[in-house]
Amino acid sequence: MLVAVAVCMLQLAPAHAQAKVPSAPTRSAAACTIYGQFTRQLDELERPVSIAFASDGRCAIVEADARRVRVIARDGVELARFEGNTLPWSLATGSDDGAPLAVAFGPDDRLTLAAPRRIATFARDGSPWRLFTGVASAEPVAIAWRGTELLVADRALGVLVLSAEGVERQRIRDGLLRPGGIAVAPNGGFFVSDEDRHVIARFAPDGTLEKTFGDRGAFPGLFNGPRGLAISGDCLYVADELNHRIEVLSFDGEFRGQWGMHAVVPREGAGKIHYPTAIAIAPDGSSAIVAEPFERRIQTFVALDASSAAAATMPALGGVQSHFGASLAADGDLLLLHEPETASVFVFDLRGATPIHVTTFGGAGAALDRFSRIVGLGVDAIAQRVVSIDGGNQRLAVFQLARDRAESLKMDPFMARLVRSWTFDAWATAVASFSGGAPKSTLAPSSIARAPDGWWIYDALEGLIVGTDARLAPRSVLKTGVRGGTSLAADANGFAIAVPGIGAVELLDAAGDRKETIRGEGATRLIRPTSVAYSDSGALVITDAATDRVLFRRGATLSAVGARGISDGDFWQPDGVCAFGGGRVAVVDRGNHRAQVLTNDGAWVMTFGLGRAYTKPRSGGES
Amino acid sequence: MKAWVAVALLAAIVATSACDRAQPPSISAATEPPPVPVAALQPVTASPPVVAEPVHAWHSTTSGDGGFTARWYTDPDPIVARDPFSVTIELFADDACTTPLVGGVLALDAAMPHHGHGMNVQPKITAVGPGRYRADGMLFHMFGRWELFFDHTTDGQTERAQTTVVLQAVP
Amino acid sequence: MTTTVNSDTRLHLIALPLAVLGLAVGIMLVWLEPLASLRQRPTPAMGRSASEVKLAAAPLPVELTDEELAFARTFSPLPPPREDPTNARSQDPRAAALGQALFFEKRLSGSGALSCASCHDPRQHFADGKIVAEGIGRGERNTLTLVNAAHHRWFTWDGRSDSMWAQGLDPLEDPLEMGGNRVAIVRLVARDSAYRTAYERAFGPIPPIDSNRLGGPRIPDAAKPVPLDVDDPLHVEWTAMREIDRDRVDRVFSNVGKALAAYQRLLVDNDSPLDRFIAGLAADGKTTTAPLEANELRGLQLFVGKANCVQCHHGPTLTDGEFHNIGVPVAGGGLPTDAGRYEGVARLKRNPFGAAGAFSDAPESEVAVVSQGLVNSPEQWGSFRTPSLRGVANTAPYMHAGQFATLEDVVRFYSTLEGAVQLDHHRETLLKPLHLTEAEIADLSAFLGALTGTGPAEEFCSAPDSPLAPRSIAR
Repeated sequence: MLVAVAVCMLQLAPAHAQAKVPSAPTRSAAACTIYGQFTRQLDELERPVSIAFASDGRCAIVEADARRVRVIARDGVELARFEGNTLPWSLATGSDDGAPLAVAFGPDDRLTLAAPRRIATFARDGSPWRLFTGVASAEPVAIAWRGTELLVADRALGVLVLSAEGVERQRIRDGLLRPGGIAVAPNGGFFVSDEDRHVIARFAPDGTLEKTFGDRGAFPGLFNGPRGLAISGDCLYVADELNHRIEVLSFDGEFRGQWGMHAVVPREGAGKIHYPTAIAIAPDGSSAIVAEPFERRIQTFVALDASSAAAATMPALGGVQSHFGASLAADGDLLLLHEPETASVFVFDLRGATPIHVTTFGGAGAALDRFSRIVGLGVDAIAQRVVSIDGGNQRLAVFQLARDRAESLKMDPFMARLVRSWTFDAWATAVASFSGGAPKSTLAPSSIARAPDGWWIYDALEGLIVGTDARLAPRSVLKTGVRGGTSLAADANGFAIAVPGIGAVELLDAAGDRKETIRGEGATRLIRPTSVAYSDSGALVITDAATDRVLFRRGATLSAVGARGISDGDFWQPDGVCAFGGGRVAVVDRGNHRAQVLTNDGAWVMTFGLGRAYTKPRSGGES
Repeated sequence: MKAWVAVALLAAIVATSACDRAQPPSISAATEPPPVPVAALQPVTASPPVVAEPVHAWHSTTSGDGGFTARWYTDPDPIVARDPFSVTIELFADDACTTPLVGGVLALDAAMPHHGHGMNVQPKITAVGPGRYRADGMLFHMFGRWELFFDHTTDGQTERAQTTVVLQAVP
Repeated sequence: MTTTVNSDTRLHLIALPLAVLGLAVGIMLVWLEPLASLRQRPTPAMGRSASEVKLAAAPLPVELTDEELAFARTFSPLPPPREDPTNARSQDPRAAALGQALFFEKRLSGSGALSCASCHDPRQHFADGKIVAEGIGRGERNTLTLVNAAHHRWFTWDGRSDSMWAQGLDPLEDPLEMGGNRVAIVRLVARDSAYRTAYERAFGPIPPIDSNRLGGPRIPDAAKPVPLDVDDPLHVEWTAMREIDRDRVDRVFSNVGKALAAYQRLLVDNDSPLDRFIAGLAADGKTTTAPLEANELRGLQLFVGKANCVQCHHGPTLTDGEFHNIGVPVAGGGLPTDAGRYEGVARLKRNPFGAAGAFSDAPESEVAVVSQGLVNSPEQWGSFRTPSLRGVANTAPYMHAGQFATLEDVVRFYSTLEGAVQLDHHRETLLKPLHLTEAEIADLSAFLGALTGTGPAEEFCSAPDSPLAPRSIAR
């Protein structure tokens, strides 16, 4: 098997000569190496979320969907693999729970893995794993060693500083909203990216905040959803996910260069970067690896010869693209989709044969009618109202659509008007006082579903389902005990919550009590279920972004449709599903930048995006 | 004799007028405004002058959820693009505008949705009475259709009333 | 009848020619002198001189619609600049006289070789004709004209100042521009008797700042704050001063800016062919006493119609005074590096000199409220102030880094948007390519050439004999 892997790697697509890799270091100052020259890529990795180099050039890759860690030598030969039962925590507990999420090489090149609430280190000398449980980090996004200390960037908590014995010594929050990556500087200080504030925070060795730089945008020195970080020399490398590039800066945040460009064709790599979330630089500075879990691949780059750097403008793809995000909602003759890059909501009119885009509203910003990171959407076609959940600005909002059905269809930029807005904090207070003076806890509403005369809002932190009126004021609170869910569906009998972290969908009764846990098996095994919805016919529809399938559950039977690909009826990272009316369901096919419509039996009927739709199958994909 | 004297006088007058260094003719006859006279001190015994209350053009709009109604006027009215203006606002809890809406915080904002941008400034809001506010430092920097927002916030929950203001490029 | 020559007759023989001579001289002085001085002034590159003004009403070479006429009427006349309450001396002729003298004073610069006029050259419409400014060092931005600049609300390309007097202080100390420092400048004003007298007449007594005075406060010869480089010796000297001395220096320094602003307010150009055309236009818009050429009128139609320049270039100053990112290509290729308004707002808010600061004469004014309420958002990145188009024919090259050499290049850019920088392919842009024909490009360029008048009055275009000579107030 190792030989097969090695042979595979050697046969990979050869280096593309002169893939357009733009970079332009500015002003004078110390130059940073721009690794803009693509050399090779490794595809078919199951969500590579973290990569790290050892001092001798070995690299480790974490594939979260496969719950696997691979260690690969410089020449591509696989040296070691840990998955399933051979994962250190499985060895310890005997059960495979918790996917590895982050990797680093520590002192003496000890391989270090982080999973929810666990850290494991593996020394080279063959001594067995050391496992530390009870670590506070439930969602580690990146780890980095600093001497004999391990720094853990956690999605919710900030930065944890652990001793080599796994004991938490320090916890740093300091305004960090949503850490995306961490890198340690030569002086012992460290940088943390903040995905929601679109900044990089620089901390001193003692953990005090020194400087914050950046803002949301595509220009030099700005970011859009910054994620993984790496340091080489005096230079900071940032996986700037929604700008589709690697950005290089000085330690003061001065722009030094960038590389990468958005793909023109689906799945295109060869130096074009789609959604990078992690980067690692070889210790000798000879190469850089960029991980794109969304594309299931890593790409390797070497230093770009400065004389061949081209002008770094993105290809003008002619206006707005259908980069739909994971939330969608439909009701009656209205359908909503959104775009993470611009934090905008799209409204479609469904009275025609295909959905017609009639307005876009929102946009990135802090104003009350703008968004930062949309995590949930709901629409009520009778009241013509939209409800949104914004995880970045931490707000719930209600919009009125001023739409006259008697008028002919047209794009109307003035259609949506903000009516009401709650901060998460104010809403949590309302929930607490509704619950009879219970102490207010921090809530993180993350999904919304229609209720009779109102809404159901799911909170992932406390595992609550809150029933609200049309104004989002709480009317009932159900304690479900289901935490970490990403999507809520509701029907007359109860609820379904997708919990991708454990690979399951929880079914609850109308009181919010657990009825059943759906995991599937064999061909219908759930790996990373991301969204759930109830169809018109009462089937529960589930999207699985790891297997690229859409599953239907009727009664006790679970069936799956779809396959990984770009044709109609194929999907790439599907996320977001809703009943579409007329006995259909709509699925956001994120990786193919489109939405697809299926019948309740899973047969493909339509593909659509902004301004484009078709109902007869085509070969190849739409982007 | 008298005729020559007259001519000489005329010449003298013309010559001296030339010493004023007349400017080249300018078609745009923009003149400096006359200096404002310093107001004379009024004797203490004089009765204060009766000043008529300026007549304002009040507008009103009700929030989307019906929770409050805003009445307002701008100064100047109509609003001049690119020049700062102020807004005087009264908030009422009812459509009939009989009960002032007391408490909470008022914010004003504006946007041009079809251009995708908002207002470049945040006005200074001062409370001037129960349910009565004044916003200074508003600025609409472009002609066209603006949406003006009245956002009333209580305990982290905001309700919005909205209205359309169109600034004509050509008067 | 015998004709006798007597004393009366002799008197007549002398008086008559003298009278006629006097009359002739008077006529020449009144009517011909201005024309003579016109000949000395540089003729506008593409404008026409006053002598071509026709006085008879004639039909327009190109008929304009009512809407086009209505738009055109908004472009003229140019009123006087609005009042600046933050500068109480902005219309004070004594301050203006001092300001004019300082404008040409080379000792304000660190090298002693540069004055404001070095880059704002009266003979080049108070700009410099260069791609980017070249002072002590080479700058990154194109020099803007000062003519009619007093109309702006925000100053320079990134709007880093909200008042003209505050803006004028910036280049004095910028190491790439004049490289001076405020303590040396204040010393110069205090020690030169003419400057001192002029200053004190306009602003009141100069506080004691001369360190040579026995028992006087210790003030260095040169110092200024350099927040970005705290090790700079000038910054070290500045921080070592007593706070009260720093305050005094800042006070005088700000008044230097106010004097310069009072002078710059007089740099008016408001009699372009377009202005004369509008002024001479009949009420029905069908005839005028000062027609534009046919191609200029066609250009006007494009300006308010198909080309829609008027979207951002409107009003008598032909600018909205605000900031836009139109994706102007980067000189030499590569990524844009100039953050424009995004950094300008941040600079404005931390500048102690400005409408809302301690040296403003109206820190509570509406200007100050607007300034303090400015939003700083990343949407402003790379956006620059719409320049006024008055005098544009005289201020090549164009755009914030001088990227376009001619007006035709500018119009061609708007027509094709070739090379436009758009980094974020998800956002719609403000501009769409106009797809103008060659003839349309020529017509639009011609119209832009009709926006230059006879320029600021000659008396303001050179160093005065003395900072004490009063200046008349410009119309």
